[in-house]
Amino acid sequence: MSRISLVRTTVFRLAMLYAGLFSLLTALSLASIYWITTSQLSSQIDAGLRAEASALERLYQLKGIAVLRETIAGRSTLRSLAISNLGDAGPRQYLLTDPKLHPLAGTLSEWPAGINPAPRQWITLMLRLRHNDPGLDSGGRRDSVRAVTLVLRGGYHLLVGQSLNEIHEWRNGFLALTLAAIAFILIAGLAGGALMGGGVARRLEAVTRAADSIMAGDLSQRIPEEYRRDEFGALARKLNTMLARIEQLMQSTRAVTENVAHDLRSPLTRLRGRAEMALLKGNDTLRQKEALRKSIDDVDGIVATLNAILSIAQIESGARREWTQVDMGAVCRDAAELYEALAEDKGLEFTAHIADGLHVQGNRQLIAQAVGNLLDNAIKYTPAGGGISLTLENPSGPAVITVTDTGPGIPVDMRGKVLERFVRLDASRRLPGNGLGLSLVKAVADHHGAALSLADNRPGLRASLSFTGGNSI
Amino acid sequence: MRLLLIEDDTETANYLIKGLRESGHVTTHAASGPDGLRAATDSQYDALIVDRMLPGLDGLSVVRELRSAGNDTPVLFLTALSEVDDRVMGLHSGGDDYLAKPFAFAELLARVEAIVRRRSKQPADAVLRVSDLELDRLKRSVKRDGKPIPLQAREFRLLEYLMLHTGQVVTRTMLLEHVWGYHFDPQTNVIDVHMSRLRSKIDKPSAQPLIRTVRGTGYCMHEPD
Repeated sequence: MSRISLVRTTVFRLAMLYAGLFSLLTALSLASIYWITTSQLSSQIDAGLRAEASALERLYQLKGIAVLRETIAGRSTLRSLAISNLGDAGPRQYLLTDPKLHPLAGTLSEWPAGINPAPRQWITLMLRLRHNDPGLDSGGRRDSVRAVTLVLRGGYHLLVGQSLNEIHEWRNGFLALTLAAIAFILIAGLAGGALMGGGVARRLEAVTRAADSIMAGDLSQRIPEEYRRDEFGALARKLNTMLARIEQLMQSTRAVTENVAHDLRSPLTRLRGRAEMALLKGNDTLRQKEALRKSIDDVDGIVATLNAILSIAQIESGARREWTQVDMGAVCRDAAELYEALAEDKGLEFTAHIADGLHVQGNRQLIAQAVGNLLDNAIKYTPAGGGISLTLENPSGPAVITVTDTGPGIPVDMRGKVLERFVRLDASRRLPGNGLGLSLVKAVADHHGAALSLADNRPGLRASLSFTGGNSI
Repeated sequence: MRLLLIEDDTETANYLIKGLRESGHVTTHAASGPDGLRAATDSQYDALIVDRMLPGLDGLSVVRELRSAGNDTPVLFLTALSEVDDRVMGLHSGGDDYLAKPFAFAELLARVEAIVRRRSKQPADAVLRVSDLELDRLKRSVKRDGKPIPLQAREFRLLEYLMLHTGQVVTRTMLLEHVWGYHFDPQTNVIDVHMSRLRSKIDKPSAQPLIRTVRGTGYCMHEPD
């Protein structure tokens, strides 16, 4: 038995695909939010730094180095830092040096190594910040600082910077959020997919199990039908209907095979016996000729039976051949004309009431054969002096053909039975026939979507073939 | 008649050839489709008897090729398949008649003679005559020894068919097919009843009988000896 592995179920794969897709989309949208926000923050920081640097340069131009030095020293105090911290993204960093880069004032203790003092230069530094207040010391942590350098008239160098700590913290938080979101989507998708896929796999497994048993030969096996009216329930019901039909067909095939074997054995036995008798010593040529002639009759009988079986099988196979608009009046008149002579020869009264203008979609040969078989039976089973009739009318629907006789009829409990192949009433065994006549009529009726009914004619049998309007199968 | 039998089953072929020769027909045998096609192309025959299932090239294809090459020799198909649409297909591909296996040899002979006659016959006369029996196809009247005989429509067609095949055996299935248009075998031999009625009208006890029963096969309309 083949178990369906969860990972290979379509539902699971779909769920995984969607989870992956959503994760990707989430990551993309969060990345774009991140990119927009950080560039916004950076340009805000740069704008702030530019304004501050310009204000300080202006102050220097108006008031000189001493005031600038004092101002920077003031801004580097705890209070100023705290105030500037309130509205901004982080504490500002300052450094004012003389032309030889000796610090004059500011939060930095020395000019950062590796940075050439150039006018209007934007740089990003990694610094260990020194604060005037030990409480604000970064504790040895290196901070990333965005800064702008100015060269003032007189060769003084000014650096105004801002720690990017806040941005980095925000960025880390954002990254964590993104990862959490993706992880959540993936886990939810995985769980959902596993749940749904497992459900589907479980239900399909029931079908697979049933199919395995059926393939192993147990045709009575059925797929468990769930009461749920979803697509799986519908599928199970449909498959079960199909299986029932297949089982029924298999059974009927088996029954037919057995019946064929049985019905052919008797004439074959007869044939063989006759041939053996003809070979016995003491038989003259005349007797041998007679035996051969009877043998040929036996063979003809066997062939007729085989042909009838094949015809029924072919009709039951359902393929519609030579399908045309059939003039039922013409078919019935032909049949009446053909069988009337036979009936009269046997001393039966034959009456026909055939309505004109009735048409049915179908196979003329098959309908004619069905009517012929009904008339043939009626004539065969009705004793001399009786009467048979053929009626074509349309009380409701396109056409109803009725054949009646005054023979022995068929007992109620046998009426369904006689439609089966090879079933013959005990009383009729002495009459010629292969027990396939009514089976063929039934097959033709089914083929045309018509109904065959057998009723009591008081006395006799009343067989009706009712063609319906939409004779679709 | 010169006949070509294309049949791969040796046993069937032998028995058919023997029967056909005894009936006075010169018969050539081919055991495969290509051989049969070659034989049919190389010389002239009055009729071909072609099995549907043949090695190399099946019967339908053989006849189709012959027909497309302009050869219109009458063809009788033999088949082990007795299905209706096989008959239709056989006739569509250019066959003239169709016979399902197993068959009575007399049936085969009757059908071969019928297709050859049908082909060679000029547009039939309006009046058919056998001895003193006269059938007028236009007036739809029948006279025997100058005296009119009233017939029902079907009896007229039955007699017409018999007279068109005067001197030939006509089988019951041929009558069913051509007079009633039925391609199935009714369980009882209804044809016999109709034939006996027709004979009672045509062959009055006083007159010379013209319709002869061929035992186990059918009937034959013939000139009195």
